[in-house]
Amino acid sequence: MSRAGTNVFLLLALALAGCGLDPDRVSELVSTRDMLLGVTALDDGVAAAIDVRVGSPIGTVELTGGDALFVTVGGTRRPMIEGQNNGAPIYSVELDTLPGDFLLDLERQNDRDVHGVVVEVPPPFTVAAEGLTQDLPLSLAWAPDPEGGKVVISVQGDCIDTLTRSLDEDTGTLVITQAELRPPPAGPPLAPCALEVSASRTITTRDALFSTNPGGNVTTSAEQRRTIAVVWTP
Amino acid sequence: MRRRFIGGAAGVLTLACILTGSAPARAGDPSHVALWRMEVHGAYLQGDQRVGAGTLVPYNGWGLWARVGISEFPWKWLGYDVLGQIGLVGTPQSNFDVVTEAAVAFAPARWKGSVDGSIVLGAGGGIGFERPVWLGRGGTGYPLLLARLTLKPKNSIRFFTSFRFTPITPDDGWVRSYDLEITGGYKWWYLGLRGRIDDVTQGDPERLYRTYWLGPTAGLVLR
Repeated sequence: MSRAGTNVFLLLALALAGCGLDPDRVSELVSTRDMLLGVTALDDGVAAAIDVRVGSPIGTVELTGGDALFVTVGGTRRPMIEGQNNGAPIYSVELDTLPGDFLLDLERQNDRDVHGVVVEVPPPFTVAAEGLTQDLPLSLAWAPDPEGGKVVISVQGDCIDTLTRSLDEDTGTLVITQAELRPPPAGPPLAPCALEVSASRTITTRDALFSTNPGGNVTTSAEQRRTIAVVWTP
Repeated sequence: MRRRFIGGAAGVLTLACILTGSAPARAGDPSHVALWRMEVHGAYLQGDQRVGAGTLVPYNGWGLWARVGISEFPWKWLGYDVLGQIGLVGTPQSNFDVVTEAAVAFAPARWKGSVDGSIVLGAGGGIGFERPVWLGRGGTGYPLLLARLTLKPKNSIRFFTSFRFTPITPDDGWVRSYDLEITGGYKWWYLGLRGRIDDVTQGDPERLYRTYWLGPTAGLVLR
C-alpha cells in the first residue's frame, strides 16, 4: 500500500474508532436524577447574589424546553435569570441582602421537578476592629455563632502579604499580631498602611435530590461576608 | 364431535401437505429459495446512549463481523434460516460480539419469468450479547422476524434484500433492532450495503435512544 493510501486508511480508522461526539449541552437531554445543582450565595453586606449551575454527565447544561429555576427568599418567589460564566450557563438572582435560608425550585416540563430545596444561609453579622496602632495587635470581634458555619478571616493590603485564618471554633474574636502581618525582618511599615479585613461565614451542604440511585445531587455554599477598612499606624 | 375431529385432522394434514410440497426444491432451479453464504461486514455506528438514569449522550464507533448464513428448504414451501456472526464492536464499551439466530422459514412466493424471484418469510429467535453494547455485556435471547426478496434477472446475476426485526424486551426497557441488507452479486460473489437501527426505549424519563449502523458487506454464495 502506498504512503498516501496508508495515511487515508489510518485517518479512516481513527474516524471510525470514535473521534468523540460533542453533546448538545441542554437540560432536555438530561434526567433530573443525573443533575448536580451547584448553588452559591453571597451576601457581602452591600448586596447579595444567588447563582446556580446545572451540572450533568455531559457538563454544565442550559435550561431548555421550558425548564426553569426559582428561588424563594423572604417569602418572595423569583425566577432565576440566565447568564454566562466562563462560557458556561449560570442562573442568577440579584438581591439587597440574604436575610436567612431560602428555597430553590427546579421546574421541568418533561421530567421530575425539584421543589423546596432548603439552602442554609449563615445569619447576618457585623465585625469590628481595634488596635494596629503603635505595637498593638489587630483585634477583631463579631457575634459568635457556633452553628453559623465555617469562619474565615482574611487581611490584605499593599504593605503585607495576604493573611488568611480559618477558624476551627467560632469564638467571636481573633487577635492577629503585627509580626504575623509583617514577619521579621520586614517589621511594621514605616508609614500608615491601609488594610482590608474580611470576615466570612460559610455553610456548605451536599444532599441527594431523590432517594433513588442515581438520585441527583445538590451542593450549596452560602456565605455572609463583611469587609472593613483598617489603617495600620506604626 | 367425531366429525369435527376428522375435519380438523384433515385440515392439519392438508396444511402440512401444502407446506412440505411434493418434493424438495432442486438446486439450480432459478427460483430456488435456498441461500448459503459467508460474508464480512463492516459498519460505522452513531447514535445516542443512555448515561446515568436517563441522560442522552451521543456516541460513535465501528463494528466488523464475519457472518455465515444458511437458508435451506427441505420442503417446497417450508425450511429454516440460520445465521451466525462473530466480530468486534469498537466503542468505549468495545467488545467481542457473537450472535446466533435461527428461524423457521416459509416461502409464500416464488416465480419464473423475465426476472425469477422468491420471497421468504421467517420467525424464530436468537441469542447473543446485548445490542447496542452500551446496554451491557450480558447475554440475551430475543424473538426474530425476517423477510427476504431474491431477484435473479439472469442465472449468473442475483439481487437479494433481507430485513430482520428483533423485538427484544429486557427487564429495564424495550429494545428493537431493524436490520436491512441490499446486495447484488455476480456468480458466486456479492457486494452490498447493510444498515441497522437499534432502538432502546428506557430510562427516567423514558426516552428513545437510537443507534444507526451502516456499512458495506461482501460475501460468497455457497449455494
